[in-house]
Amino acid sequence: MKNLEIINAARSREEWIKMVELSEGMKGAVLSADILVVPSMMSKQPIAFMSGTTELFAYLQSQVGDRVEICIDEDNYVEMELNSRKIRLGKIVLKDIALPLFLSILGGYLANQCNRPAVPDAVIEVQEFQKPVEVEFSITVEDSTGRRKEFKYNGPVADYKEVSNEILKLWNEK
Amino acid sequence: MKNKASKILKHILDKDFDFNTVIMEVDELRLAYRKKGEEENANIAWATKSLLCIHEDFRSAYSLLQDKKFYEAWCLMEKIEIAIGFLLRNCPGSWNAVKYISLMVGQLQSLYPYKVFMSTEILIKERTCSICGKKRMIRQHCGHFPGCVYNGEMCCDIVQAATLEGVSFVFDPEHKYAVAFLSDENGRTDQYNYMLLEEVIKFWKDPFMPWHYTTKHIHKSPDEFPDLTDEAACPCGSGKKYGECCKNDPEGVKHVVYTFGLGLVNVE
Repeated sequence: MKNLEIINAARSREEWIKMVELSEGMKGAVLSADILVVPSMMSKQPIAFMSGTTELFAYLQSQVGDRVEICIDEDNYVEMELNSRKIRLGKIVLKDIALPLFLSILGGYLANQCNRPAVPDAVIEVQEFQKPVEVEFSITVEDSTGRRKEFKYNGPVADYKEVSNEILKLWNEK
Repeated sequence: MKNKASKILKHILDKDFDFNTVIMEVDELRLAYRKKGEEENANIAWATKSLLCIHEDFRSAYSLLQDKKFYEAWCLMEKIEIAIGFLLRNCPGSWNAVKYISLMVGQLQSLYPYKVFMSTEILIKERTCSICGKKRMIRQHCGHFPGCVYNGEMCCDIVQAATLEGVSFVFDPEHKYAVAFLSDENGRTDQYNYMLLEEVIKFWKDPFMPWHYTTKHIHKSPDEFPDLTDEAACPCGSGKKYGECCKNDPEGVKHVVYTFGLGLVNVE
C-alpha cells in the first residue's frame, strides 16, 4: 500500500530501555505495558519525543489506563517541535493482542485532531500548504514468540482507516 | 448567555456594527461568568467573543487587501484560520457561522504567490499549563489540553525552557506568516507578484459579497516567448528552468487560466 512501509526487524523493548538509560524502577512497567511510546529522535542528542506526545499519551491513558507506558524517565522527557504542518505521532511498540484496540483508539484520536472541515478541492487551486492534513507514525508489533514487525506510515489522515486495515491484515499474515 | 449571544450575533453583518464595544462587553460577561464559576455560560461567552473577533479580522483583512497590503492581509488570514480551528474544536456546531469566512480565506490564500516558508525546529524542555499553572508531566497530566476551553479560557502551553535546534525551508509550514522574502541593503523586499489578488480586489466590492473561481490549463506556443532562454524560469510557474520544463513539452508552454465569478460554489 502507498505510503506504508513494513520493516521486519525492529528494536526490542530491552534495546529501547538500554538506549534511553531507563532507571531500574521504571523497567518493569515498560516491559509489561501493552502499548509503549518510545522516543522518535535517536540519531542526535538529546533523545526526544515528537511534539504532542504529552497529549497523545494522556489520551491513551484515558482510554486504556495503565496498559500504556512511555519509555523515558520523567526528568529526561523533552519534545521536538518540527517544521512542516503534519501530525507526528512518533513511535509506538505494541503487544499483538493490543493491536486492534490501539488502531481503533488512534483513529478516534486522529478524528479529534482533524475536526476542521476541509476547503473543497473544487473551489480552489490546491497549493502545497492547502493539501489534506498528513500523519506520520511508526508502530512496532511484537508477539510472545519474539516476532516483531514495524509499520511506518506517512500520508493523508483520510487514508487512515484503509491503512489500519492493511496493518492488521499484514500482521496476521504469519 | 445563549440568548444574549444570539441577540448580539444577529447584527454582526450590519455595516455599522461596533466590534470594539461589543467585544469588550462580551469579554466582561465572560470574565464575570468565570468569576462565578458558571462554566457553560463562560464558554459560550468565549465562543461569542471568538466569533466576533473572526468577523472583525475578516473585515480588516479585506481592507488590507483593498490597500494592497498583501502580506499583512496574509498574516491576518492565518490568524483567522487558526481562530476558526479553535472555535470549531470547542463548538463544532458553529461551522455555519464561519463557513463563508473559512471558504473566502481558503480561496484568497490559494491565490497568493507564496510557495516557500521558513520553519523552526525547537526542542521544548519544560512547559506549564496556562489554566492551572502546573508543569506538564508526561505521566501525571493535569487534565487540561492545549486548544480546549475551560471556564471561558483557552488552555495553552507556556514554554519555560527551549532551544532552537534549526531552521528549514518548507512548502507546508506550521506558521504561514514565515514567508521567505528576499532582502537587500535596505532590508526586506517583497519580490512577489500579486497579480491574481489585484484582479480580485477590482471586482470584490464588499467583504460579504461571495465570489469563486475556477481554473483550466491551456498551452501556448513557445513563439509567444521570443526572449525565453533555457536558463530562465519557466513561464508555467513550476519553479523549474524553462530548459528543464515546458521546452520539452510538445504541446507548448503550460498556462493556467483563472475565471472569476460571483456567488459561491455550493459546498457542504
